[in-house]
Amino acid sequence: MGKNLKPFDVFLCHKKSSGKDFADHLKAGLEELGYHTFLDSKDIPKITDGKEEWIQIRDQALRESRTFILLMTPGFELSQEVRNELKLARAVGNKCFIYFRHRDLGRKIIIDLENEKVDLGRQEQVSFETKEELLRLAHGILLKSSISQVSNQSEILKPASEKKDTSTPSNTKTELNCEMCLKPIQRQPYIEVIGEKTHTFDCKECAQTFKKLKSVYDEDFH
Amino acid sequence: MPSRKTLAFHSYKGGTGKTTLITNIAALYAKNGFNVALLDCDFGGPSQVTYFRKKPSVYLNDLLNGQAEISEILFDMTAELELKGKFLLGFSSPRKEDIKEIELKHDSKWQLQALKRFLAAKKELFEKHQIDYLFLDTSPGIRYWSINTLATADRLFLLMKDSDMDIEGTRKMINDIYDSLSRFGSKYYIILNKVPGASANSASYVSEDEKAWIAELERVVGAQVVGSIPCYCDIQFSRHEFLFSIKQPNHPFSVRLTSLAENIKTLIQQ
Repeated sequence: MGKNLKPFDVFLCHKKSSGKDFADHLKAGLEELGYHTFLDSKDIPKITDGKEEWIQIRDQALRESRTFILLMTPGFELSQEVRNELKLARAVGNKCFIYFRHRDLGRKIIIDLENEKVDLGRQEQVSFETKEELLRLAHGILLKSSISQVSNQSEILKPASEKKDTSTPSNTKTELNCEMCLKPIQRQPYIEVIGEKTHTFDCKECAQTFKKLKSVYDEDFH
Repeated sequence: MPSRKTLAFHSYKGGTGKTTLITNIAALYAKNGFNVALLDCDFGGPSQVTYFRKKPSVYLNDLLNGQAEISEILFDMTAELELKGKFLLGFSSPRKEDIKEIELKHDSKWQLQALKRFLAAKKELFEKHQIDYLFLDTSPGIRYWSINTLATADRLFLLMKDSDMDIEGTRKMINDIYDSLSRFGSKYYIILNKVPGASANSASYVSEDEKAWIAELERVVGAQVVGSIPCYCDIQFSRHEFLFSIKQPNHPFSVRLTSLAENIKTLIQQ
């Protein structure tokens, strides 16, 4: 990896033609929230020695990431890169898999990984529509699983049939406070990117109050 | 079950009758069974203490300072006024040093921290005290705390009288502040108060002059007029108007206020 000595927390797997905007936004937002997130287009230097080195860097990032996020956007199951990454992630194991499905897609999708056909309809999926919503949902799930602190996370989004009880949050859960009302966030945080910065709130109302104050005070409001 | 909403009453200038109107409307809601809280956020010119003739030991100012919780500052008027719903009051301190402190002494860091405490308290009012409607009586004009109060509200009611200064000031505030806030979900309306020449005797009659003025104002200012209250001499010159809408429900002023309260309720449910 050269310059990037810090191991990745999250690996983003996506199809470029339909998922790039979502992946870019998610990468930027998660990085700002402190999750070191791998995205091939941003984290692999442009001057690598051909495809082999590109694959090597990507695979290393995938192996070290504790969370594998698959962005299910139109045609993702047809992308060879997506299939390769999912196949390797499943083979490596010991990962938390999060399947984000765009609302335009149906739930039941079978993806052919050569050695197995995976029915994603049987996996727990999280649906999203906008990139802002995707970031908000991803942060909420990552917070719940406290991936940055706990290694025992591989159960989080296993198939429903195999899933154990994950309702009890880890006792090392990160405590977050709303930026607007200062209350500890006990439910799923409401995350918004405002003025190129990611902000975490207790609820939509706090986010709106923040935006209102920012719109009036502009730079004087921090 | 109403949707929980925060309503701020504001004006460009003082003397528009803001405190009288907000207090009467809030009390009418509580009379009809809604749980209501009314906070005096006019830190520069507190008036609710005088209006209710109370002497609290803790004020909203203490909450902003981090020295009191919202539960400690609330004054419960439900039983005293024999209302169906809760009627909780939060007073702002009339002490000279407290007014000076909030207006002049504190730096922007303190102000922001105070605003966050205020927001947490507001949330507690809805969640813990089961409030349906929160009424915020703001400072007139464009001041730090009037803007903050407006930003925390869902619906903004701008009170004005029939004067060029009020019309021009209101129009400017809409351009400078209200339009920004409305981009993020706030909705604002105008209430005309102390309307001269309106029929003070018949509560339901709205004169042609009054109608024409409302239409003209909506055109000039660019905001919906949600109601108008005529100038009633006995209210205007009363030494201490106190909850006319509750104490004298058949007075034309009370009837007009009841109608205005209904209009507002319809609007805030939309």
